[in-house]
Amino acid sequence: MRNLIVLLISLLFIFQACKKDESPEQQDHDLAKGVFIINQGTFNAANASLSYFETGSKILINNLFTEVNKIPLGDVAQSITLWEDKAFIVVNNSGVVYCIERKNAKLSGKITGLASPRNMLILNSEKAYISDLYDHHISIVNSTTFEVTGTIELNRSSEEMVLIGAKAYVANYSAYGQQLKNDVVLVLDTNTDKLVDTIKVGIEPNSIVSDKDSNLWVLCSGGYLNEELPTIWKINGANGEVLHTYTFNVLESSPSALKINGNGDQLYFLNNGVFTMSVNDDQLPSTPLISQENNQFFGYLGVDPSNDNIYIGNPKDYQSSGLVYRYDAAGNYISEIDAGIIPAAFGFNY
Amino acid sequence: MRGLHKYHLILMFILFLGMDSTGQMVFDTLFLNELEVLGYEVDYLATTKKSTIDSMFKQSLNNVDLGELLSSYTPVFIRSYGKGSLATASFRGTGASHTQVLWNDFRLNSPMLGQTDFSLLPNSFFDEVELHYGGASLVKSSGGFGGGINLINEPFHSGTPVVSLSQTYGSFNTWSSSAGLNLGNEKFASNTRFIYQSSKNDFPYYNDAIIPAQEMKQDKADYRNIGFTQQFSYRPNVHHILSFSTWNQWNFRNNPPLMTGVESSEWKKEYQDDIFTRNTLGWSYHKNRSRFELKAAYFYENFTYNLQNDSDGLPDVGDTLVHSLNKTNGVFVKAKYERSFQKGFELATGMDVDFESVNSNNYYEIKQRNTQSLFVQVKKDFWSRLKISLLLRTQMSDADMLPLMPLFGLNIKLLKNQDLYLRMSISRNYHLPTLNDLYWYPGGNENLKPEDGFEAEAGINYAFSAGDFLLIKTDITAHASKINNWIQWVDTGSGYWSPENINKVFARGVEFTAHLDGHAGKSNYRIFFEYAYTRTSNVNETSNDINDDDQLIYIPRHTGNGLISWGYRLYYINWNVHYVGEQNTIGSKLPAYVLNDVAIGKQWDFEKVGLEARFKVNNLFDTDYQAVLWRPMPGRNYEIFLSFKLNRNK
Repeated sequence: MRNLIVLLISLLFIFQACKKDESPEQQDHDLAKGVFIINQGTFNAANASLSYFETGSKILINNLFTEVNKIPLGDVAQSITLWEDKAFIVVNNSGVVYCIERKNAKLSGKITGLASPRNMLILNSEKAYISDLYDHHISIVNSTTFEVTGTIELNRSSEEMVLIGAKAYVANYSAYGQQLKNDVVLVLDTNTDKLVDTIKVGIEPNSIVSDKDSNLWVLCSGGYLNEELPTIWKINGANGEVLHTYTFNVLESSPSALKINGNGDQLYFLNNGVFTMSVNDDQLPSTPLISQENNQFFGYLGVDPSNDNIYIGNPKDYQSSGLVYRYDAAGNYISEIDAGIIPAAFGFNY
Repeated sequence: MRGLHKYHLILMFILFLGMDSTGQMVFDTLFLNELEVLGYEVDYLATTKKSTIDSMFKQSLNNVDLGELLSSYTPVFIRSYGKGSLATASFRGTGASHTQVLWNDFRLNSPMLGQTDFSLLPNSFFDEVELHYGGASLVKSSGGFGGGINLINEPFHSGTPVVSLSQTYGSFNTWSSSAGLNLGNEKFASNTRFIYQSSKNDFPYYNDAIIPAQEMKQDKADYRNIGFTQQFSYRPNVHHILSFSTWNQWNFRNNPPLMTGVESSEWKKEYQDDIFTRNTLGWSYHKNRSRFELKAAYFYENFTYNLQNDSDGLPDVGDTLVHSLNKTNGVFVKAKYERSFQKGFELATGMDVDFESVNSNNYYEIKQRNTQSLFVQVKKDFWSRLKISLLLRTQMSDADMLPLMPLFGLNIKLLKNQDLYLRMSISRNYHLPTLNDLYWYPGGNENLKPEDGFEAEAGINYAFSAGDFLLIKTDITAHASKINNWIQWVDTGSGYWSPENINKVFARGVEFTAHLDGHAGKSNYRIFFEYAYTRTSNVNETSNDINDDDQLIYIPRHTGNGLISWGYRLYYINWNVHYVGEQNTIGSKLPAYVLNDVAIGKQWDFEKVGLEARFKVNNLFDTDYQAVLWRPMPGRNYEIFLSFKLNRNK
């Protein structure tokens, strides 16, 4: 019996000694022309990741951020903003924005102390705005030192932003914790950092872009409970005048992800398939450029500004690695990429 | 919090002082000799797998929750977010809602989520924990693909002291107090239990999820639970027992941030409050070879979850981001008749009527569900070597009839002069969608079908004794189940999620347990070992392929537990080892870990008074591990336990 006890005790220590020694190797990357893919990850699981696809060599690197910086990207990566030699990745539920080098994905700084950051708009080397879902203000940060220098009160949550001249346009996408209806675009004066105007659009403006003529385009889903018909709004970026409203005819549809090409003259959005229209069209397109087939699911969209190639994220079951489909400007299938969990945003790195 | 704690100690003291005056009222009692359960013991005579947790094992963890007890001594895998935080079960590789948890036969699973939070079940509130594996749970209720866990309070429980008091103090300002009072005679018994648990839970850990990696303290993980149970039992004569039980508990906890988000969590206030009352009333009648039982229960639970933006520390209109209010009411009635006939023939039949109602601001309106269930079970013994049983259960839910759920089992004594038994069973089971699956707004899907499970198992049980020195009991069981129409929430593409019957899951595995004990001279020892191998994968509809990397998330393939316990005179030492193998999570793998806990204690037994003191080191080797990805867990920590018992006159 004594022998048995000794054996078991030694087994315990063997177990102990067998513990894995984990120290992944440091890897350096020299990133060629390509696309950053932000894999959002599942909520409250801290499994967001960064992928990189080199468009020339077709080399794919998954988990790039963690490989280079030895930390997880965090919980719910929301968006990526490229500016000069930097890329800013907003990690929503971690309340962090990571700034990496575009050439090698090395961390060069971080912005913390944010409640629920969504998007970043860089104005110049001193100033940037960060929108927020839970905090009803825009955070003003220094783009070089990464310090939060102030806030702009909105009384609303904020989402996507675009800059036209000296005005920043901010979409009030979500009604989270706000008393007011989520059907406006807010106008900020970037010189004074003040809220100067509010433009009424449809319910739930989920994406906004600016075109070559400095017009603002706003896509409204009509509410996630389908409160009204979805709409697209064309607005004069200088004076806020509504130039045209495009109304979808199916209440249950939920168009999303309005994007614009490099020339600023062709719009793209998702509505089960990928649709495209010219900024001069006065009607919504009736047939998709790329139709969604049975085994596909189109959740997220990106348009390569250099050649109008289309990138579509397919999150599959939201539990395993997602796919990114690549199509050319004419809607012809090129290839697909095995990315991370919920490939949701694209940053084109040229 | 400190003030409240002091108040509680005073209360305990008063209870204790009061004993001398009330002590006169404690009559000499005559109780039936109860069989002390030895070992996490599989019932070797049963036709389906059933086990009970050893009373010594349970005693040693009576100051913690059921989740810790199950994960230390059973193959039930408990996924815990940390001490005091949500803990859910995966039994035989199934989902959290596939383990039915019962308190004296009444289901504790939330009608909304379908699962049970094991951190809210204090071990000192029940006397026994009985496990029904897989389809064997059909004996008590439907829906337990993994199995059923029944928490039992005996109406007349012998061996319980008149007064019991215990106090635990542990690292990170963790307090746990319990008190029990047993009064009565052979006709009437009153049993009162009280617990208070609180912890600041601010353990240090190494955060390597941020840059620079650093030593930090867990923040906002404090919790506080207060509860009491009261049971009155009345036995006018040998035939009748009437009993009333009530279990009331208030639980508060903060939810800590993920390791990746600690630098920006100042604004965040996330907490939940859970108050419940559970009340049962029962009558049982026993005469000759018949037994009839009628029981009813009323359960009420009020659960609130809050997420607040507290960045400026001031209450503002927009501060509340999520304020989820959920009230559930349940009324349950059970009737059961059992009779044993000549020649080893037994019959049991029963009926359950359940009514559940949920009032939640996450639903469009108040939602209710009525279910009625009927079962009949026959058992027959042949030549004292072979036993077979057949159970048929039917269930109706809001006028929808579920198909018949049969459970067939057999037990063979393989050798005439050896305790070697072979057990086999096969069953069909259904699990109703939860009320959240049906009515959550938005996304709830009223067209969901019940999940449909088919299960088979076979096991061998062997016991061997070599006098006082050695007793060995072992059991090995293989099981397999296929679950169709497994419910999973999926994105609808219109901004919200909705559940669908999309998965087909194949779960299978092996459970092994061995228990050795004995004594020689003034020493006694126990060795316990338990291992479970579990594979659970989605079955691909088109190819029927099962690839090797498809283990469902948070179901480890390998789990094991070991205990070496040695007692000498009044002293004892218990060494526990807990092993959890590598787990898949969404997108990455969580490494395996081994935890060692060591407890050293002394027991004093005086004529009427029993005392115990224990010192315990948890996570002895200071293992850095995560049970859920990026949720920190404490390193080495300590606890001191003191208990006082006043026993009945002998």
